[in-house]
Amino acid sequence: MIFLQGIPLSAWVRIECVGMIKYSRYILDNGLKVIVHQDKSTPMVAVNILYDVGARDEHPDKTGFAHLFEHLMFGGSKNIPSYDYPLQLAGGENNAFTNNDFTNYYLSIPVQNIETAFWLESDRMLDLAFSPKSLDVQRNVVIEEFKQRYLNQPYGDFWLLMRPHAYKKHPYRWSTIGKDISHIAGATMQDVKDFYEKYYNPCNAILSVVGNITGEEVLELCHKWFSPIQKGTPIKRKLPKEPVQKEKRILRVERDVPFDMICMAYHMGCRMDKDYYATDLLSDVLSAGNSSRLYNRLVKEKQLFSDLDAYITGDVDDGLFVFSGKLMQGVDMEMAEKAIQDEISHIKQHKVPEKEHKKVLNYVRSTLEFSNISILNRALRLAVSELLGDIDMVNSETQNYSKVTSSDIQQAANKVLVDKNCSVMYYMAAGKRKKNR
Amino acid sequence: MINRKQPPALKTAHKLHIPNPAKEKLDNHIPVYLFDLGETAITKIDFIFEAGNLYQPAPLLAFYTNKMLTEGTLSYSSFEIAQKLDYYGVWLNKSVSKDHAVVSLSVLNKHLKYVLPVLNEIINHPKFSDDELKTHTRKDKQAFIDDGHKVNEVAGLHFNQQLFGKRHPYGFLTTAADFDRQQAAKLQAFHQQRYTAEKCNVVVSGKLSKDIVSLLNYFFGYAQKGTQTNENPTSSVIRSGRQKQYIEMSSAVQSAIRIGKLSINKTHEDFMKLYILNTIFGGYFGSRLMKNIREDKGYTYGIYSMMMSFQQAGVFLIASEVGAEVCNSAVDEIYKELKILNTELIAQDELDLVKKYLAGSVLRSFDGPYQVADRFKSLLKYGIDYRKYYMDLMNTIDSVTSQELLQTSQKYLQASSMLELIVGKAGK
Repeated sequence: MIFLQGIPLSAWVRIECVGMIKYSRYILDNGLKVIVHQDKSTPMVAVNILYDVGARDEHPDKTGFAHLFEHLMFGGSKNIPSYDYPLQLAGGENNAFTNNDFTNYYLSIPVQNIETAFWLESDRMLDLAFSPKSLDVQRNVVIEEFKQRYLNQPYGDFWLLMRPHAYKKHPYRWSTIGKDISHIAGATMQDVKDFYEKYYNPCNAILSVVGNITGEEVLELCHKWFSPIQKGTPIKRKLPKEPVQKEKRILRVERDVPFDMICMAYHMGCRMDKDYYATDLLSDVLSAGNSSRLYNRLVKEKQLFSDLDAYITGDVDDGLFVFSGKLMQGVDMEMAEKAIQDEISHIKQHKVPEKEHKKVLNYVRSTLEFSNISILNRALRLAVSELLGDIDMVNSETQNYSKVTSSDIQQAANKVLVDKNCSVMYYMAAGKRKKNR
Repeated sequence: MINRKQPPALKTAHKLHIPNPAKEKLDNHIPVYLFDLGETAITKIDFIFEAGNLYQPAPLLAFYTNKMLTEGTLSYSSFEIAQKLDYYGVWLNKSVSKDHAVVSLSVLNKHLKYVLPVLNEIINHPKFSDDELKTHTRKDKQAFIDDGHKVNEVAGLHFNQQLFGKRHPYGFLTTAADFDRQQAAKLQAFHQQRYTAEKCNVVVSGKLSKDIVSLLNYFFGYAQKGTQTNENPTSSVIRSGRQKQYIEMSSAVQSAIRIGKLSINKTHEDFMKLYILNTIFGGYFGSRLMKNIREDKGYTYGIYSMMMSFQQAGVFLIASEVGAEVCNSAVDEIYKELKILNTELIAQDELDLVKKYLAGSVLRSFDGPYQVADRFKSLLKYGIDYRKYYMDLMNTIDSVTSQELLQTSQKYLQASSMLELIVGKAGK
């Protein structure tokens, strides 16, 4: 039997509103959550499967595993030797990503062939092929990815350093790619099987579908392909909470890069925290667009930085508010940090003027509207909202931002941007030092 | 019980629908192409000028003329422009390619009428100042020096020159010193010559308001002709440089590989076959290069090849970043694959797969008003009817044979004709 949850009323009410995403939501007997949003304007359909497992669920000695596993999901499943081949034959295209919170697989395919997607996705949820060759090769591929993104780029190891600096207990202290190449190199087939057994189950997954297809049609396909899969054991996540930081932390590193860089990270609340929207708007006032404060005052007027950003990480658990900037040649670290501090003091002491406040609201509104154009983005937003426990967020976010007042932004600044809550990293150009001496 | 070994039956996808744009002319004869599609109340406007790298006498001139359009105009300072655009939640994108300079704006329809006057200032009345210019060149120069530490960036920059040669504007090699040489007066002159009504096309897409054409005409239909210029921007012939190059970066843990050659562009009758052949070779995730060098050997996170088309040339290019210690083996494998492509018929099931994949991919590339407009724009400069082009492409995908593709490979992709560049550590 299929358990229908809270669709009709709220869905129908929403029909009239422009730009709203109408959806139906179901939960199969085995716990798989299914969300369907019909869009008649496209010949394609987006199918998104989110597994509620990310780098934060890894053992501290086996980091990088959730991401390595994502690669192995393409190594063939129990009844289908190749994932990509039949999908491409059906005119489909797919990809996946892993972050600290979850692992997401997505594809788009002509809607006539949607059943191919259900066949493929259900089989790799049912059981994998666990080919030793695939494990061997993907270990190497991920090691090359590690090198390409983190080791072979100037400033590439920046987050590898910054995470353990800002987090001491919570697993956000390591990056999705892992702490170290040796963790990936050491992954065994038993690790792979255990991980799959534990996390890749219907009760730990969210399926969202966007395209010219009705909820009933999707449900029928779900019934056929996903319902026979065993539920699995629901997981209760017990992660250590990051202790409140008591004093400012300083990390100084030297690297072979051309210019100095500074990064300041402040702890902030989780994604569902009541201050989330105010804190996000705070980062927008400081740094969104060419009219933002940091760009105009510190990059253009004072010319202290070649680029400078303020942003929030937006993680599910308690996240970070980050400033990061590259210094212009000849600017010293102290001067750079003080300039950022001055901007922080200013926004803590003065309300954001009405016009500037309205500007960032408009900016956020358009960004949301623009991102909704793509069916894949809509499917992802639906799945993530469901993961966060409030599917309706997909429509209420704009309002949530609109409710934030200038005082809320000021309060967020006073709460988050506090010295003892800050972990700062001075990333110094080693070569340049020598030359200056 | 369902039989999970049995794939669901495949159905033929919808026939590709290729909408024709409405065509209008502003009072000063700027052609405007309109794709009134979609359900989201957003309008995207692209101003496309013949003002790309092809027309510049020295590096970065086209880039900075385009970049500085928003940094001060007759009526507004750069900050005022930024404020106005951000206030209305506009996405403004400026870009320069080998052939064109583009100013592209996306905006919620309800804000359109407030934004067009600003866009008019940006496009028709920029005031280039040395102060503003210096601010940008100084910070961009630092970013450029940072890029000099990335094998991939260095390879891209140098292979471009290797392909097109030193004398042709496509092949100009930018150096850090070029950032210091930029002058507002030169930007101003380039703008007057190239950002003119007769060198402009406008493409509009989205859910369009009824008065869009009259609004565009009001703001952009008056601009007069520019200074007369020599219509042949460059007399120099494209002549590729050395066949093999190696740039050492001793601290690299990965090396960047570029292998490729000059080729035909979209105006040539063989281009479509070459495009299909390239897909098989390195143009999609299931390609031969990916299967061999990533999925079998694990040498790289990714490897791909592509067919690029410019006004004066086409390019076939293979690119990857591979572990420094396996760089030579990776290069050997690339040539092995090329040799197979040059000598062996493609198996029917592989060809069938790519045909299906490409058909889906073309369909996907027409999904939504902005994609449709992108397809249209990509052919505008060649004067090719884009509907005919894509219908021909679908037909070619459908009908092409392994025999024809082998001939195409032998004619255009001989392993011995390739140029090669390694940046990083080549190994032994």
